[in-house]
Amino acid sequence: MKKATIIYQSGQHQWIAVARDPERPNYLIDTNEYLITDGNTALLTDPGGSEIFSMVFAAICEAFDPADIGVLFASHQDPDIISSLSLWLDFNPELKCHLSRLWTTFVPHFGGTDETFIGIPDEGSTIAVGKLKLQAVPAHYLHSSGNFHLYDEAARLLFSGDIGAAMLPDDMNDLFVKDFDRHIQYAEGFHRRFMGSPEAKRLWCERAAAMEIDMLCPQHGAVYQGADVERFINWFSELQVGSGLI
Amino acid sequence: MNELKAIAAINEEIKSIVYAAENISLTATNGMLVARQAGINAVGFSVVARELRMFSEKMAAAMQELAKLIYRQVVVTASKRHRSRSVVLFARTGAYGELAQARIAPAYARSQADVDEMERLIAGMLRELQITMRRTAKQCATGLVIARSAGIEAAHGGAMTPVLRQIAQGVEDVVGNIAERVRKLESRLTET
Repeated sequence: MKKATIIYQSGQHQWIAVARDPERPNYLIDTNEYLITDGNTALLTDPGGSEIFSMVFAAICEAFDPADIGVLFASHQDPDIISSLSLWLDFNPELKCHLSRLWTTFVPHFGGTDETFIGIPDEGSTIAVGKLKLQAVPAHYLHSSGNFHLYDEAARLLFSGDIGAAMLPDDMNDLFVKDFDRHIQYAEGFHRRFMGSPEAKRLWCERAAAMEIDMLCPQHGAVYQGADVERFINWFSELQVGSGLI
Repeated sequence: MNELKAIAAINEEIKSIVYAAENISLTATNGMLVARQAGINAVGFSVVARELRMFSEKMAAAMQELAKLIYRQVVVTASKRHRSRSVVLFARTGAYGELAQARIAPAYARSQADVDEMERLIAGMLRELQITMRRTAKQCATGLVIARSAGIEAAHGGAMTPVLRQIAQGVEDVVGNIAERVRKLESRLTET
């Protein structure tokens, strides 16, 4: 089963990382889900694929009552991000799902109705979770053409979707990046292949560098914290990416 | 064979029967034209050929009805497979602990109820399919009698007799072939 770990806490405000499933079959990519809570209300980022719904749900139960999750956030439209949607809606038909307006007619193929989706405009939006105001930050073409990250200014945490993702070997299963130089080699291939636009990358790096970020939380791999956040942004800004590069 | 594959195979059979039935109609029309050339002696053949055309139209209508039933069956079967997967995943979720079990139980129950309802629908549709197939099999038996009558009437075609016989034999073969396929479909549906 996946493990739920509180990575940030300030009063009733928490970030809970749901990660690292030792039972996960190798043919499924590993994913991280983050539960952002304010008291008894919560938002779940990229809830994951249907095949891992049980593990995510059960891990959340260890730390938080899933009945209090009111909002889902999908960084983009991929199956490992949101194909569990119909199961979440079976559990709670009232759930709302924020995602790029680009995908509001695509993702319903996984489940949901026009009542379910709240399309985020290209420039981003504010998503309320209890008293928290989370910022949906544009990250288009990194890698999806309609792509958002989620910034929690109060906690100084950024959910960065596929940016920062690393395909780590089995012996590197720490939740946090321990050795940046060793870690980053497992991020390189992924970023080179999946990040399609140097211009979009440059814009993202400028935007991220201007934010106060204590932790950069990707959907795959380990969480960057402290100085590793800046290290990552610098590394990414130097990385050659773009369509046609393999 | 899984349910959807079985339905797809049945649908392929239906398509081939529709194609064969269309051929009967064309051959019967040709027979009517030849009978006209044969003159008054081949009036009987003309009547039988008209009956054959009507038979082919009835077959096409029956197959259309079957195709509609098959389409509904595909829709419900696909939904059932999807919901069944949810039942499996919810059952797996519930096994993780008390809170997971308590929270997921209503979703599990709803999904299971949906699956049960879909199974009832599928069983009803299957019965409908079987009834339609039985009716079609009876139509085929009638079609075979008409096709044989065409063979008998061909003998009165004077100079056109060999051509009319050839047409009648062709139609009899095709109708016999359709009857055989319908019989097979009927037994396949009984096994399903």
